[in-house]
Amino acid sequence: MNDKQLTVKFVILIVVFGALLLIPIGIFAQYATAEPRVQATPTSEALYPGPGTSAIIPVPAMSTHVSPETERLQTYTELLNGKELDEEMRHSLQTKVAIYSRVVTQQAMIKNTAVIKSFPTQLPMTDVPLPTGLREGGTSDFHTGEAIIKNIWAQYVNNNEHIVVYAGELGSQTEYPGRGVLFILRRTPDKRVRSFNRYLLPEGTGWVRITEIKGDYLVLSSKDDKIFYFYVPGQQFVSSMKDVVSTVTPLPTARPFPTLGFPLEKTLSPYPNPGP
Amino acid sequence: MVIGTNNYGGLVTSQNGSVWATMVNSVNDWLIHNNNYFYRVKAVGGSDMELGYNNYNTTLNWVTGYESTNLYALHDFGDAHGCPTEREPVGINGLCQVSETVTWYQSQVWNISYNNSREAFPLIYNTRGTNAKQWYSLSAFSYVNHGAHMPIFGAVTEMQACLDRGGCVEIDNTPAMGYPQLQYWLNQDPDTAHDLMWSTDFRHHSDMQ
Repeated sequence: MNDKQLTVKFVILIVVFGALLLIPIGIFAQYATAEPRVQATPTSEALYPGPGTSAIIPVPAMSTHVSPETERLQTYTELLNGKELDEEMRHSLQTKVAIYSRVVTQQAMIKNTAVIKSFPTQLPMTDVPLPTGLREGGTSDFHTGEAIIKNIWAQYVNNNEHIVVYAGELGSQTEYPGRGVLFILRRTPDKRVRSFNRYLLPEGTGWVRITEIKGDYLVLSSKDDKIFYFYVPGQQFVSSMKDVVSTVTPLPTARPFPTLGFPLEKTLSPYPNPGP
Repeated sequence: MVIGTNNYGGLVTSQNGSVWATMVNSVNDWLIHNNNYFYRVKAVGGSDMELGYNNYNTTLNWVTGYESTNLYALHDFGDAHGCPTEREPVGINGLCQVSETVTWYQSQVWNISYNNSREAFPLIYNTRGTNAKQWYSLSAFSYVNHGAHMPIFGAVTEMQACLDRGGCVEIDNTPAMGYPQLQYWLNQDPDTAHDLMWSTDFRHHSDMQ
């Protein structure tokens, strides 16, 4: 091979490697000069399909999975570059960036090799007696916008059914804000069967509280000092404690959860048993 | 995975906030050191911080207690009850009228739900869109008063809880209703526009009271 041939080969090599080098540089340049993503302003709610709504979402080719923590880190890092931030916001964003950076780093140090192991055996549920009696004060069983509870009465009644009566007013997010209300929760001892009902006081009645329990009757007083009577076995408001109305049907006895085996009440044999 | 509690009652203390963070740290420690689970699952702290459940100072004590120990974020999946539903002008700290006697301010809700390690992941259960507008107003408050909007993590609904328990009227948004409500209100204002990452729905466990 003479010098001329060597020179030609050298030039070819430079051209080929140069071209290979230009490809990634070109791709980088394309991303570097691309317009930042701009959030479109919607004109209708229909533009945002919610979870569960099927939608075709364009996915860029060769996309890689980005963890939620990485996305969060990117969001807060971008916000941190803002020029109008006050000190409190800047410190807050720095804290978030520090937390998500640590989480992303921790995740990067772990391999994607988690093995799904068999589901652990569930521990048996133990029946703990539920509270009974009259208790003053509210509860987090309701959101504030749903109801504001003044007090709660609970008791075991016929058939060992547990009943909870919440007295108060409807919250501001409901259709009758401020209107007096009773909520009644009934459960079987194993809690598998239950009912939950709402009983509204007459329109214009503000909050109510349970002031007394007399036999099967609850005595309620309202915000404007009116007295109401509620007959517990019949789950109805009555005009006096002499009124008796029909009782509600007890909750059905709880049945065990169905199993994957054959139903016990059916014969396992495909042939009917001969008579005696 | 958000491991959450709420801000109701007398146990909402700084010490218990710290204990909660220790628990969340321990769960993540276990996920890191067992079977590489942490690659797919992480735990964060959370609280259903509702303005009607407790006052601001008590709630903030729990939050700062959490942040005295935490290694992971705190998600507020509570409400902005009674807060403004429109973008407030510069310099206005919107009043949140929870009841006749209980009030909060938007600055306080912003503080417990977004400042430092906190993330807003609010309840959007009202079918009329009131909750979504309240959180839009808070994100705008953040933009106007702190220089950047508040990126909201996602929307929480309680459709399954309503099916489980009953008794819900006008507060039973499905996830497919709550998520677009919040997404719409945030994105109709360029100053608060961003995409929500998550949607989730509550169910009721049978152990009420």
